[in-house]
Amino acid sequence: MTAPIAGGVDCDLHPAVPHLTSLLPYLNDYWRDQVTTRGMTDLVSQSYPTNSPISSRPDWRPTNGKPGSSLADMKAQALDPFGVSYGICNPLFGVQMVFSEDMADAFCRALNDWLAKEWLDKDIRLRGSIVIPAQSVEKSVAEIERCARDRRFVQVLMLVMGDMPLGKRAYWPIYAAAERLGLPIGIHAGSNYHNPPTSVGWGSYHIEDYVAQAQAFQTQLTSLIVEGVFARHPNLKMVMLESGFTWLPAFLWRLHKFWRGIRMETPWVDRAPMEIVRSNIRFSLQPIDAPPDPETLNRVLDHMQSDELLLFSTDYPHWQFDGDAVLPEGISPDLVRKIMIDNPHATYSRLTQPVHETNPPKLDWSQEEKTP
Amino acid sequence: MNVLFRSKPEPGSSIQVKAAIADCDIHPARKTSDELYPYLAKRWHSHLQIYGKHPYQGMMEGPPYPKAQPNASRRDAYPPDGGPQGSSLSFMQQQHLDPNNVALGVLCPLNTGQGIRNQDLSAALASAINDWQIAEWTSKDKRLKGSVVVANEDGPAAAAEIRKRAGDKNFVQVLLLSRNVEPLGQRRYWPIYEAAEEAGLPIGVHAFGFGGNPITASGWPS
Repeated sequence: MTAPIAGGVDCDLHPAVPHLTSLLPYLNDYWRDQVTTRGMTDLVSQSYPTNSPISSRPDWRPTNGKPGSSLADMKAQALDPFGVSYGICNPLFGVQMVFSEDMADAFCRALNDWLAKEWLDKDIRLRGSIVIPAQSVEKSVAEIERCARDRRFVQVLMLVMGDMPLGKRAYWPIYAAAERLGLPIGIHAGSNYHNPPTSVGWGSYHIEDYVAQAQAFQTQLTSLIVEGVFARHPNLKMVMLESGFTWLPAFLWRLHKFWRGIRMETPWVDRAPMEIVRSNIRFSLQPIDAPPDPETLNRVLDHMQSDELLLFSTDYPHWQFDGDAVLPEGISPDLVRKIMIDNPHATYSRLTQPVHETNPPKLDWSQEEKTP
Repeated sequence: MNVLFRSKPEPGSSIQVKAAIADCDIHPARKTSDELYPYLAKRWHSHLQIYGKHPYQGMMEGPPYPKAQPNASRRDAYPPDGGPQGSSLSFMQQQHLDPNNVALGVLCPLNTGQGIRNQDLSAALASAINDWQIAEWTSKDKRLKGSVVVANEDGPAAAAEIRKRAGDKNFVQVLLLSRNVEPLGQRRYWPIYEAAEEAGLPIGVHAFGFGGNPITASGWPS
Protein backbone atom coordinates (compact mmCIF):
# COMPACT_ATOMS: atom_id res chain seq x y z
CA MET A 1 0.00 0.00 0.00
CA THR A 2 1.12 3.54 -0.70
CA ALA A 3 0.79 5.39 2.59
CA PRO A 4 -0.55 8.94 2.67
CA ILE A 5 1.82 11.53 4.17
CA ALA A 6 0.85 14.02 6.83
CA GLY A 7 -0.13 17.55 5.89
CA GLY A 8 -1.99 16.77 2.68
CA VAL A 9 -4.99 18.52 1.17
CA ASP A 10 -8.14 16.51 0.52
CA CYS A 11 -9.61 18.34 -2.47
CA ASP A 12 -12.97 16.59 -2.71
CA LEU A 13 -15.09 16.10 0.41
CA HIS A 14 -18.87 16.05 0.30
CA PRO A 15 -20.70 17.33 3.36
CA ALA A 16 -24.41 16.57 2.98
CA VAL A 17 -27.28 18.89 3.79
CA PRO A 18 -29.51 16.68 6.00
CA HIS A 19 -32.70 18.01 4.39
CA LEU A 20 -33.96 21.10 2.58
CA THR A 21 -35.47 22.19 5.89
CA SER A 22 -31.91 22.37 7.31
CA LEU A 23 -31.47 25.48 5.16
CA LEU A 24 -34.57 27.26 6.54
CA PRO A 25 -32.56 29.24 9.13
CA TYR A 26 -30.41 30.58 6.28
CA LEU A 27 -33.31 31.69 4.07
CA ASN A 28 -35.13 35.01 4.29
CA ASP A 29 -38.80 35.17 5.26
CA TYR A 30 -40.03 34.98 1.69
CA TRP A 31 -38.12 31.83 0.77
CA ARG A 32 -38.70 30.17 4.14
CA ASP A 33 -42.39 30.65 3.50
CA GLN A 34 -42.09 29.33 -0.07
CA VAL A 35 -40.45 26.10 1.08
CA THR A 36 -43.16 25.39 3.65
CA THR A 37 -46.24 26.77 1.86
CA ARG A 38 -45.50 25.02 -1.41
CA GLY A 39 -44.70 21.73 0.29
CA MET A 40 -41.23 21.46 -1.29
CA THR A 41 -39.44 18.17 -0.82
CA ASP A 42 -35.73 17.54 -0.43
CA LEU A 43 -33.30 18.39 -3.24
CA VAL A 44 -31.53 15.10 -3.83
CA SER A 45 -30.09 14.68 -7.31
CA GLN A 46 -30.37 11.51 -9.35
CA SER A 47 -26.61 11.90 -9.89
CA TYR A 48 -26.11 10.58 -6.34
CA PRO A 49 -29.15 8.66 -5.05
CA THR A 50 -28.72 8.53 -1.27
CA ASN A 51 -28.95 4.73 -1.05
CA SER A 52 -26.86 3.98 -4.14
CA PRO A 53 -23.59 2.10 -3.51
CA ILE A 54 -21.57 4.87 -5.22
CA SER A 55 -22.97 7.47 -2.81
CA SER A 56 -21.32 5.99 0.27
CA ARG A 57 -18.76 3.41 1.29
CA PRO A 58 -20.63 0.78 3.31
CA ASP A 59 -18.44 1.37 6.37
CA TRP A 60 -18.95 5.13 6.03
CA ARG A 61 -22.74 4.91 5.78
CA PRO A 62 -24.40 6.23 8.94
CA THR A 63 -27.22 4.37 10.66
CA ASN A 64 -29.51 7.31 10.14
CA GLY A 65 -29.50 10.18 7.70
CA LYS A 66 -27.52 10.93 4.59
CA PRO A 67 -23.90 9.82 4.18
CA GLY A 68 -21.63 12.80 4.80
CA SER A 69 -24.12 14.65 6.97
CA SER A 70 -22.08 14.32 10.18
CA LEU A 71 -18.91 16.34 10.82
CA ALA A 72 -17.88 13.87 13.53
CA ASP A 73 -18.02 11.05 10.98
CA MET A 74 -16.05 13.06 8.43
CA LYS A 75 -13.35 13.72 11.02
CA ALA A 76 -13.17 10.09 12.13
CA GLN A 77 -13.42 8.56 8.66
CA ALA A 78 -11.49 10.99 6.43
CA LEU A 79 -9.78 14.02 7.98
CA ASP A 80 -8.04 12.19 10.83
CA PRO A 81 -7.09 8.84 9.22
CA PHE A 82 -5.58 10.47 6.12
CA GLY A 83 -3.86 13.13 8.23
CA VAL A 84 -4.77 16.10 6.08
CA SER A 85 -4.07 19.73 6.95
CA TYR A 86 -6.93 20.93 4.79
CA GLY A 87 -10.13 19.44 3.42
CA ILE A 88 -12.10 21.21 0.71
CA CYS A 89 -15.87 20.83 1.02
CA ASN A 90 -17.83 20.46 -2.21
CA PRO A 91 -21.55 20.25 -1.37
CA LEU A 92 -23.58 18.32 -3.94
CA PHE A 93 -27.02 19.35 -2.65
CA GLY A 94 -29.29 19.58 -5.70
CA VAL A 95 -29.74 23.35 -5.77
CA GLN A 96 -28.79 23.57 -9.45
CA MET A 97 -31.73 21.42 -10.57
CA VAL A 98 -34.47 23.95 -9.91
CA PHE A 99 -35.44 26.02 -12.92
CA SER A 100 -36.10 29.35 -11.21
CA GLU A 101 -32.91 31.36 -10.99
CA ASP A 102 -34.32 33.32 -8.05
CA MET A 103 -35.01 30.13 -6.14
CA ALA A 104 -31.65 28.62 -7.11
CA ASP A 105 -29.94 31.82 -5.98
CA ALA A 106 -31.72 31.81 -2.60
CA PHE A 107 -30.84 28.14 -2.05
CA CYS A 108 -27.20 28.69 -3.09
CA ARG A 109 -26.79 31.59 -0.68
CA ALA A 110 -28.35 29.54 2.09
CA LEU A 111 -26.16 26.55 1.24
CA ASN A 112 -22.96 28.63 1.33
CA ASP A 113 -23.92 30.23 4.64
CA TRP A 114 -24.85 26.80 6.01
CA LEU A 115 -21.45 25.44 4.97
CA ALA A 116 -19.60 28.31 6.66
CA LYS A 117 -21.56 28.01 9.90
CA GLU A 118 -22.12 24.27 10.26
CA TRP A 119 -18.79 23.05 8.87
CA LEU A 120 -16.06 25.67 8.33
CA ASP A 121 -16.67 27.27 11.75
CA LYS A 122 -16.36 23.89 13.45
CA ASP A 123 -13.07 22.50 12.11
CA ILE A 124 -10.15 24.73 11.19
CA ARG A 125 -8.95 22.25 8.56
CA LEU A 126 -12.05 22.72 6.44
CA ARG A 127 -12.28 25.01 3.43
CA GLY A 128 -15.29 25.62 1.22
CA SER A 129 -16.37 25.86 -2.40
CA ILE A 130 -18.85 28.55 -3.40
CA VAL A 131 -21.92 26.94 -4.96
CA ILE A 132 -23.42 29.26 -7.58
CA PRO A 133 -26.77 29.52 -9.41
CA ALA A 134 -25.06 29.08 -12.78
CA GLN A 135 -28.19 29.73 -14.83
CA SER A 136 -27.87 33.40 -13.79
CA VAL A 137 -24.38 34.71 -14.50
CA GLU A 138 -25.17 38.01 -12.78
CA LYS A 139 -26.34 36.31 -9.58
CA SER A 140 -23.42 33.88 -9.72
CA VAL A 141 -20.90 36.72 -9.85
CA ALA A 142 -22.66 38.46 -6.96
CA GLU A 143 -22.56 35.27 -4.88
CA ILE A 144 -18.88 34.70 -5.67
CA GLU A 145 -18.07 38.25 -4.59
CA ARG A 146 -20.17 37.94 -1.43
CA CYS A 147 -18.64 34.65 -0.29
CA ALA A 148 -15.08 35.46 -1.39
CA ARG A 149 -14.84 37.97 1.45
CA ASP A 150 -14.67 34.91 3.68
CA ARG A 151 -11.13 33.70 2.89
CA ARG A 152 -12.05 30.13 3.85
CA PHE A 153 -13.87 29.83 0.53
CA VAL A 154 -11.12 28.71 -1.82
CA GLN A 155 -12.98 27.73 -4.99
CA VAL A 156 -16.12 28.22 -7.10
CA LEU A 157 -18.11 25.05 -7.75
CA MET A 158 -20.02 24.18 -10.92
CA LEU A 159 -21.51 20.96 -12.28
CA VAL A 160 -20.06 19.30 -15.36
CA MET A 161 -23.53 18.90 -16.90
CA GLY A 162 -25.46 22.15 -16.90
CA ASP A 163 -27.47 24.34 -19.23
CA MET A 164 -24.76 25.20 -21.74
CA PRO A 165 -21.21 24.16 -22.62
CA LEU A 166 -18.97 25.81 -20.04
CA GLY A 167 -16.77 27.57 -22.58
CA LYS A 168 -19.68 29.71 -23.82
CA ARG A 169 -18.91 33.43 -23.58
CA ALA A 170 -22.03 34.03 -21.47
CA TYR A 171 -20.25 32.34 -18.55
CA TRP A 172 -17.07 34.40 -18.82
CA PRO A 173 -17.98 36.99 -16.16
CA ILE A 174 -17.97 34.08 -13.68
CA TYR A 175 -14.46 33.16 -14.78
CA ALA A 176 -13.31 36.79 -14.63
CA ALA A 177 -14.58 37.11 -11.06
CA ALA A 178 -12.92 33.85 -10.03
CA GLU A 179 -9.59 34.79 -11.56
CA ARG A 180 -9.70 38.25 -9.97
CA LEU A 181 -10.42 36.81 -6.51
CA GLY A 182 -7.85 34.01 -6.69
CA LEU A 183 -10.45 31.24 -6.83
CA PRO A 184 -10.11 28.22 -9.10
CA ILE A 185 -13.27 26.95 -10.78
CA GLY A 186 -14.02 23.44 -9.54
CA ILE A 187 -16.10 21.43 -11.99
CA HIS A 188 -17.70 18.44 -10.31
CA ALA A 189 -19.39 15.37 -11.73
CA GLY A 190 -23.16 15.63 -11.75
CA SER A 191 -25.99 17.06 -13.81
CA ASN A 192 -28.73 19.61 -13.28
CA TYR A 193 -30.74 17.33 -15.60
CA HIS A 194 -31.92 20.23 -17.75
CA ASN A 195 -30.44 18.28 -20.64
CA PRO A 196 -30.12 14.54 -21.27
CA PRO A 197 -27.11 13.20 -19.34
CA THR A 198 -25.46 11.80 -22.46
CA SER A 199 -24.93 13.37 -25.87
CA VAL A 200 -27.11 10.68 -27.44
CA GLY A 201 -30.08 11.02 -25.10
CA TRP A 202 -31.42 9.53 -21.90
CA GLY A 203 -30.04 6.15 -20.80
CA SER A 204 -32.09 3.63 -18.85
CA TYR A 205 -29.80 3.03 -15.88
CA HIS A 206 -27.89 4.86 -13.16
CA ILE A 207 -24.59 3.37 -14.35
CA GLU A 208 -25.06 5.10 -17.71
CA ASP A 209 -25.35 8.50 -16.05
CA TYR A 210 -22.30 7.87 -13.88
CA VAL A 211 -20.01 6.51 -16.60
CA ALA A 212 -21.09 9.38 -18.89
CA GLN A 213 -19.58 11.90 -16.45
CA ALA A 214 -16.16 11.26 -18.03
CA GLN A 215 -17.47 12.06 -21.52
CA ALA A 216 -19.05 15.23 -20.15
CA PHE A 217 -15.69 16.31 -18.70
CA GLN A 218 -14.05 15.75 -22.08
CA THR A 219 -16.72 17.78 -23.82
CA GLN A 220 -16.33 20.61 -21.31
CA LEU A 221 -12.54 20.63 -21.57
CA THR A 222 -12.87 20.91 -25.33
CA SER A 223 -15.38 23.73 -24.99
CA LEU A 224 -13.30 25.65 -22.42
CA ILE A 225 -10.14 25.36 -24.51
CA VAL A 226 -11.49 26.09 -27.99
CA GLU A 227 -13.74 28.96 -26.87
CA GLY A 228 -10.59 30.63 -25.59
CA VAL A 229 -11.28 30.88 -21.85
CA PHE A 230 -7.60 30.45 -20.99
CA ALA A 231 -6.38 32.86 -23.65
CA ARG A 232 -8.52 35.52 -21.94
CA HIS A 233 -7.86 34.29 -18.38
CA PRO A 234 -4.35 32.81 -18.38
CA ASN A 235 -4.17 32.76 -14.59
CA LEU A 236 -7.46 30.95 -14.08
CA LYS A 237 -7.20 27.39 -12.76
CA MET A 238 -9.93 24.85 -13.25
CA VAL A 239 -10.14 21.61 -11.28
CA MET A 240 -11.96 18.57 -12.65
CA LEU A 241 -13.50 16.89 -9.60
CA GLU A 242 -14.46 13.20 -9.56
CA SER A 243 -13.77 13.22 -13.29
CA GLY A 244 -11.35 10.32 -13.53
CA PHE A 245 -8.09 11.15 -15.29
CA THR A 246 -6.84 8.00 -17.03
CA TRP A 247 -8.77 9.05 -20.16
CA LEU A 248 -6.78 12.25 -20.42
CA PRO A 249 -3.83 11.15 -22.61
CA ALA A 250 -6.02 9.58 -25.31
CA PHE A 251 -8.45 12.49 -25.23
CA LEU A 252 -5.65 15.05 -25.46
CA TRP A 253 -4.09 13.29 -28.41
CA ARG A 254 -7.37 13.56 -30.28
CA LEU A 255 -7.99 17.19 -29.33
CA HIS A 256 -4.38 18.12 -30.00
CA LYS A 257 -4.33 16.42 -33.38
CA PHE A 258 -7.50 18.09 -34.63
CA TRP A 259 -6.49 21.45 -33.16
CA ARG A 260 -3.33 21.24 -35.25
CA GLY A 261 -5.33 20.42 -38.34
CA ILE A 262 -8.19 22.91 -38.08
CA ARG A 263 -6.99 25.60 -35.69
CA MET A 264 -7.73 28.30 -38.28
CA GLU A 265 -11.32 27.98 -37.05
CA THR A 266 -10.36 29.11 -33.52
CA PRO A 267 -7.33 31.37 -34.00
CA TRP A 268 -7.55 32.72 -30.44
CA VAL A 269 -6.40 29.36 -29.07
CA ASP A 270 -2.80 30.54 -28.86
CA ARG A 271 -1.29 27.45 -27.24
CA ALA A 272 -1.60 23.74 -27.86
CA PRO A 273 -4.41 22.10 -25.83
CA MET A 274 -1.80 19.94 -24.09
CA GLU A 275 0.03 23.05 -22.88
CA ILE A 276 -3.20 24.68 -21.72
CA VAL A 277 -4.11 21.59 -19.71
CA ARG A 278 -0.68 21.49 -18.13
CA SER A 279 -0.82 25.13 -17.05
CA ASN A 280 -4.51 25.61 -16.20
CA ILE A 281 -6.32 22.30 -15.59
CA ARG A 282 -6.06 19.98 -12.58
CA PHE A 283 -7.76 16.69 -11.71
CA SER A 284 -8.78 15.19 -8.40
CA LEU A 285 -7.23 11.79 -7.68
CA GLN A 286 -10.35 9.68 -7.08
CA PRO A 287 -11.78 7.79 -8.87
CA ILE A 288 -8.77 6.05 -10.44
CA ASP A 289 -10.01 4.17 -13.48
CA ALA A 290 -7.07 1.85 -14.05
CA PRO A 291 -6.08 -1.74 -13.41
CA PRO A 292 -4.39 -2.33 -10.04
CA ASP A 293 -0.93 -3.18 -11.38
CA PRO A 294 1.47 -0.25 -10.81
CA GLU A 295 3.21 -0.62 -14.15
CA THR A 296 0.09 0.17 -16.16
CA LEU A 297 -0.85 3.13 -14.02
CA ASN A 298 2.67 4.55 -14.14
CA ARG A 299 2.58 4.36 -17.93
CA VAL A 300 -0.66 6.37 -17.92
CA LEU A 301 0.89 8.91 -15.53
CA ASP A 302 3.90 9.10 -17.84
CA HIS A 303 1.61 9.76 -20.80
CA MET A 304 0.09 12.69 -18.90
CA GLN A 305 3.52 14.35 -19.31
CA SER A 306 3.32 16.22 -16.02
CA ASP A 307 3.41 15.39 -12.33
CA GLU A 308 1.53 18.60 -11.48
CA LEU A 309 -1.94 17.63 -12.70
CA LEU A 310 -3.28 15.46 -9.88
CA LEU A 311 -4.71 16.69 -6.58
CA PHE A 312 -5.26 14.36 -3.64
CA SER A 313 -8.89 13.47 -2.95
CA THR A 314 -10.83 10.85 -1.03
CA ASP A 315 -14.18 11.77 -2.61
CA TYR A 316 -15.59 11.14 0.90
CA PRO A 317 -18.12 9.59 1.47
CA HIS A 318 -18.42 8.21 -2.09
CA TRP A 319 -17.24 4.63 -2.54
CA GLN A 320 -14.11 4.80 -4.70
CA PHE A 321 -11.71 2.64 -2.65
CA ASP A 322 -11.70 0.37 0.39
CA GLY A 323 -9.77 0.60 3.65
CA ASP A 324 -7.03 3.21 3.55
CA ALA A 325 -6.00 2.47 -0.06
CA VAL A 326 -6.67 6.03 -1.18
CA LEU A 327 -3.34 6.25 -3.06
CA PRO A 328 -2.59 3.84 -5.90
CA GLU A 329 0.08 1.15 -5.58
CA GLY A 330 3.54 1.80 -6.85
CA ILE A 331 3.72 5.58 -7.23
CA SER A 332 6.92 7.30 -6.16
CA PRO A 333 7.31 9.17 -2.84
CA ASP A 334 8.00 12.31 -4.88
CA LEU A 335 4.69 11.97 -6.68
CA VAL A 336 2.86 11.32 -3.40
CA ARG A 337 4.22 14.58 -2.04
CA LYS A 338 3.28 16.41 -5.24
CA ILE A 339 -0.26 15.02 -5.28
CA MET A 340 -0.94 15.47 -1.58
CA ILE A 341 0.78 18.79 -0.82
CA ASP A 342 2.56 20.70 -3.58
CA ASN A 343 -0.05 20.51 -6.33
CA PRO A 344 -3.04 21.49 -4.16
CA HIS A 345 -1.12 24.42 -2.67
CA ALA A 346 -0.09 25.59 -6.13
CA THR A 347 -3.72 25.35 -7.28
CA TYR A 348 -5.58 26.82 -4.32
CA SER A 349 -3.69 30.05 -3.66
CA ARG A 350 -5.92 30.88 -0.70
CA LEU A 351 -4.65 27.89 1.28
CA THR A 352 -1.36 29.66 1.89
CA GLN A 353 -2.93 33.02 2.70
CA PRO A 354 -4.15 34.14 6.12
CA VAL A 355 -7.78 33.59 7.04
CA HIS A 356 -9.54 36.27 9.05
CA GLU A 357 -11.77 33.96 10.93
CA THR A 358 -12.58 36.49 13.60
CA ASN A 359 -14.64 38.57 11.22
CA PRO A 360 -16.54 36.36 8.80
CA PRO A 361 -18.93 38.37 6.67
CA LYS A 362 -22.53 38.06 7.71
CA LEU A 363 -25.37 38.34 5.29
CA ASP A 364 -27.11 41.66 5.86
CA TRP A 365 -30.76 41.14 5.07
CA SER A 366 -31.44 44.86 5.03
CA GLN A 367 -29.47 45.06 1.82
CA GLU A 368 -31.13 42.06 0.26
CA GLU A 369 -34.16 42.32 -1.90
CA LYS A 370 -37.28 41.51 0.07
CA THR A 371 -38.79 39.54 -2.76
CA PRO A 372 -36.73 37.10 -4.83
CA MET B 1 -59.77 27.08 -2.23
CA ASN B 2 -61.59 26.92 1.09
CA VAL B 3 -64.91 26.11 -0.54
CA LEU B 4 -67.51 24.81 1.90
CA PHE B 5 -68.85 21.35 1.22
CA ARG B 6 -72.54 20.84 1.68
CA SER B 7 -74.07 17.44 2.07
CA LYS B 8 -77.47 18.81 1.04
CA PRO B 9 -78.85 21.90 -0.70
CA GLU B 10 -78.92 25.13 1.26
CA PRO B 11 -82.19 25.79 3.13
CA GLY B 12 -84.60 27.63 0.88
CA SER B 13 -82.94 26.44 -2.30
CA SER B 14 -85.35 25.40 -5.02
CA ILE B 15 -83.00 22.61 -6.12
CA GLN B 16 -84.19 19.44 -4.47
CA VAL B 17 -82.55 16.76 -6.58
CA LYS B 18 -79.13 17.09 -8.10
CA ALA B 19 -78.44 15.47 -11.41
CA ALA B 20 -75.94 12.67 -11.13
CA ILE B 21 -72.66 13.59 -12.72
CA ALA B 22 -69.63 11.91 -14.21
CA ASP B 23 -66.26 13.18 -13.00
CA CYS B 24 -63.72 12.08 -15.58
CA ASP B 25 -60.58 13.18 -13.73
CA ILE B 26 -60.11 12.04 -10.14
CA HIS B 27 -56.61 11.52 -8.73
CA PRO B 28 -56.24 8.72 -6.22
CA ALA B 29 -53.00 8.95 -4.23
CA ARG B 30 -50.96 6.50 -2.22
CA LYS B 31 -50.78 7.00 1.54
CA THR B 32 -47.12 5.98 1.66
CA SER B 33 -44.37 5.55 -0.92
CA ASP B 34 -44.28 1.78 -0.36
CA GLU B 35 -48.02 1.22 -0.77
CA LEU B 36 -47.43 -0.41 -4.17
CA TYR B 37 -44.94 -2.99 -2.87
CA PRO B 38 -47.53 -5.77 -2.46
CA TYR B 39 -48.20 -5.44 -6.19
CA LEU B 40 -44.53 -5.35 -7.23
CA ALA B 41 -41.96 -8.13 -7.56
CA LYS B 42 -39.39 -8.12 -4.73
CA ARG B 43 -36.53 -7.03 -6.99
CA TRP B 44 -38.24 -3.68 -7.59
CA HIS B 45 -38.58 -2.93 -3.86
CA SER B 46 -34.80 -2.72 -3.40
CA HIS B 47 -34.37 -1.10 -6.82
CA LEU B 48 -36.71 1.73 -5.82
CA GLN B 49 -35.02 2.08 -2.43
CA ILE B 50 -31.55 2.34 -3.98
CA TYR B 51 -32.04 4.18 -7.25
CA GLY B 52 -35.51 5.68 -7.01
CA LYS B 53 -37.70 5.89 -10.09
CA HIS B 54 -34.92 7.26 -12.32
CA PRO B 55 -37.20 9.52 -14.34
CA TYR B 56 -36.38 11.90 -17.20
CA GLN B 57 -35.60 14.67 -14.70
CA GLY B 58 -33.15 15.11 -11.86
CA MET B 59 -35.13 15.06 -8.62
CA MET B 60 -35.10 11.91 -6.51
CA GLU B 61 -38.44 13.08 -5.12
CA GLY B 62 -40.80 15.90 -5.93
CA PRO B 63 -41.19 17.83 -9.18
CA PRO B 64 -38.46 20.06 -10.66
CA TYR B 65 -40.95 22.91 -10.60
CA PRO B 66 -42.23 23.05 -7.01
CA LYS B 67 -45.99 23.33 -6.96
CA ALA B 68 -47.84 26.30 -5.50
CA GLN B 69 -49.11 24.07 -2.72
CA PRO B 70 -48.30 20.57 -1.48
CA ASN B 71 -48.94 17.97 -4.20
CA ALA B 72 -50.75 20.65 -6.27
CA SER B 73 -53.82 19.69 -4.27
CA ARG B 74 -56.30 21.64 -2.17
CA ARG B 75 -55.23 22.11 1.42
CA ASP B 76 -58.73 21.19 2.63
CA ALA B 77 -58.43 17.81 0.90
CA TYR B 78 -55.99 16.31 3.43
CA PRO B 79 -57.73 13.25 4.89
CA PRO B 80 -58.32 13.65 8.64
CA ASP B 81 -56.65 10.27 9.27
CA GLY B 82 -53.40 11.32 7.57
CA GLY B 83 -51.73 10.79 4.19
CA PRO B 84 -51.67 13.10 1.18
CA GLN B 85 -54.69 14.55 -0.53
CA GLY B 86 -56.66 11.93 -2.43
CA SER B 87 -55.30 8.97 -0.47
CA SER B 88 -58.45 8.10 1.49
CA LEU B 89 -61.47 6.55 -0.21
CA SER B 90 -63.80 7.27 2.70
CA PHE B 91 -62.80 10.93 2.76
CA MET B 92 -63.15 11.16 -1.03
CA GLN B 93 -66.66 9.75 -0.69
CA GLN B 94 -67.54 12.15 2.10
CA GLN B 95 -65.96 15.21 0.54
CA HIS B 96 -66.66 14.68 -3.15
CA LEU B 97 -68.48 11.58 -4.43
CA ASP B 98 -71.52 11.82 -2.13
CA PRO B 99 -72.23 15.58 -1.95
CA ASN B 100 -71.63 16.07 -5.67
CA ASN B 101 -73.65 12.97 -6.55
CA VAL B 102 -70.93 11.46 -8.68
CA ALA B 103 -72.32 8.41 -10.46
CA LEU B 104 -69.18 7.73 -12.48
CA GLY B 105 -65.73 8.68 -11.23
CA VAL B 106 -62.79 7.96 -13.53
CA LEU B 107 -59.53 7.47 -11.70
CA CYS B 108 -56.41 8.98 -13.28
CA PRO B 109 -53.49 7.97 -11.06
CA LEU B 110 -50.45 10.23 -11.44
CA ASN B 111 -46.82 9.76 -10.36
CA THR B 112 -47.00 6.18 -11.51
CA GLY B 113 -44.86 4.25 -13.96
CA GLN B 114 -44.68 6.83 -16.73
CA GLY B 115 -41.78 9.06 -17.69
CA ILE B 116 -39.32 6.50 -16.32
CA ARG B 117 -36.09 5.65 -18.12
CA ASN B 118 -35.90 1.98 -17.11
CA GLN B 119 -38.67 0.41 -19.20
CA ASP B 120 -38.86 -2.81 -17.15
CA LEU B 121 -39.50 -0.75 -14.02
CA SER B 122 -42.00 1.38 -15.92
CA ALA B 123 -43.96 -1.70 -16.97
CA ALA B 124 -43.83 -3.23 -13.48
CA LEU B 125 -45.07 -0.02 -11.85
CA ALA B 126 -47.83 0.40 -14.43
CA SER B 127 -49.12 -3.10 -13.82
CA ALA B 128 -48.87 -2.59 -10.06
CA ILE B 129 -50.84 0.64 -10.12
CA ASN B 130 -53.55 -1.09 -12.16
CA ASP B 131 -53.84 -3.92 -9.62
CA TRP B 132 -53.84 -1.30 -6.87
CA GLN B 133 -56.72 0.63 -8.49
CA ILE B 134 -58.86 -2.51 -8.40
CA ALA B 135 -57.86 -3.61 -4.90
CA GLU B 136 -58.04 -0.24 -3.17
CA TRP B 137 -60.62 1.73 -5.16
CA THR B 138 -62.88 0.23 -7.84
CA SER B 139 -63.67 -2.95 -5.91
CA LYS B 140 -64.63 -0.86 -2.89
CA ASP B 141 -66.81 1.74 -4.62
CA LYS B 142 -68.69 0.75 -7.75
CA ARG B 143 -68.98 4.38 -8.87
CA LEU B 144 -65.24 4.45 -9.46
CA LYS B 145 -63.59 3.15 -12.63
CA GLY B 146 -59.90 2.85 -13.32
CA SER B 147 -57.54 3.92 -16.10
CA VAL B 148 -55.09 1.41 -17.53
CA VAL B 149 -51.66 2.89 -16.78
CA VAL B 150 -49.01 1.73 -19.26
CA ALA B 151 -45.25 1.92 -19.79
CA ASN B 152 -45.71 4.81 -22.19
CA GLU B 153 -42.29 4.66 -23.89
CA ASP B 154 -42.38 0.91 -24.52
CA GLY B 155 -45.12 0.28 -27.09
CA PRO B 156 -45.17 -3.53 -27.00
CA ALA B 157 -45.07 -3.67 -23.16
CA ALA B 158 -47.86 -1.09 -23.01
CA ALA B 159 -49.95 -3.04 -25.52
CA ALA B 160 -49.48 -6.22 -23.48
CA GLU B 161 -50.73 -4.46 -20.35
CA ILE B 162 -53.80 -3.15 -22.22
CA ARG B 163 -54.61 -6.63 -23.56
CA LYS B 164 -54.22 -8.01 -20.04
CA ARG B 165 -56.93 -5.57 -18.85
CA ALA B 166 -59.18 -5.85 -21.92
CA GLY B 167 -62.71 -6.84 -20.93
CA ASP B 168 -62.10 -5.99 -17.27
CA LYS B 169 -65.03 -3.79 -16.28
CA ASN B 170 -62.88 -2.05 -13.67
CA PHE B 171 -61.22 -0.04 -16.44
CA VAL B 172 -62.77 2.47 -18.82
CA GLN B 173 -59.75 4.04 -20.56
CA VAL B 174 -56.01 3.89 -21.19
CA LEU B 175 -54.01 6.71 -19.58
CA LEU B 176 -51.18 8.63 -21.17
CA LEU B 177 -49.58 11.92 -20.19
CA SER B 178 -49.12 14.91 -22.46
CA ARG B 179 -45.33 15.03 -22.21
CA ASN B 180 -43.44 12.05 -23.55
CA VAL B 181 -40.11 11.40 -25.24
CA GLU B 182 -41.69 12.05 -28.65
CA PRO B 183 -44.96 13.57 -29.88
CA LEU B 184 -47.81 11.12 -29.37
CA GLY B 185 -48.43 10.72 -33.10
CA GLN B 186 -45.08 9.03 -33.61
CA ARG B 187 -45.17 5.40 -34.68
CA ARG B 188 -43.45 4.18 -31.49
CA TYR B 189 -46.73 4.77 -29.65
CA TRP B 190 -48.99 3.08 -32.20
CA PRO B 191 -48.99 -0.36 -30.53
CA ILE B 192 -50.72 1.38 -27.61
CA TYR B 193 -53.44 2.75 -29.88
CA GLU B 194 -53.90 -0.55 -31.66
CA ALA B 195 -54.39 -2.47 -28.39
CA ALA B 196 -56.71 0.24 -26.99
CA GLU B 197 -58.90 0.21 -30.10
CA GLU B 198 -59.00 -3.58 -29.94
CA ALA B 199 -60.12 -3.44 -26.29
CA GLY B 200 -62.65 -0.69 -26.98
CA LEU B 201 -60.94 1.72 -24.59
CA PRO B 202 -60.45 5.42 -25.30
CA ILE B 203 -57.02 6.96 -24.68
CA GLY B 204 -57.05 9.63 -21.97
CA VAL B 205 -54.19 12.12 -22.25
CA HIS B 206 -53.64 13.88 -18.97
CA ALA B 207 -51.62 17.06 -18.57
CA PHE B 208 -47.95 16.91 -17.50
CA GLY B 209 -45.41 14.12 -17.52
CA PHE B 210 -41.68 13.99 -18.22
CA GLY B 211 -40.07 13.15 -21.52
CA GLY B 212 -36.73 14.81 -20.93
CA ASN B 213 -37.35 17.52 -23.50
CA PRO B 214 -37.46 21.23 -22.61
CA ILE B 215 -41.08 22.08 -21.91
CA THR B 216 -41.24 25.01 -24.31
CA ALA B 217 -39.96 25.34 -27.84
CA SER B 218 -37.46 27.90 -26.58
CA GLY B 219 -36.11 25.91 -23.67
CA TRP B 220 -36.75 25.56 -19.97
CA PRO B 221 -38.73 28.40 -18.34
CA SER B 222 -38.31 29.38 -14.70
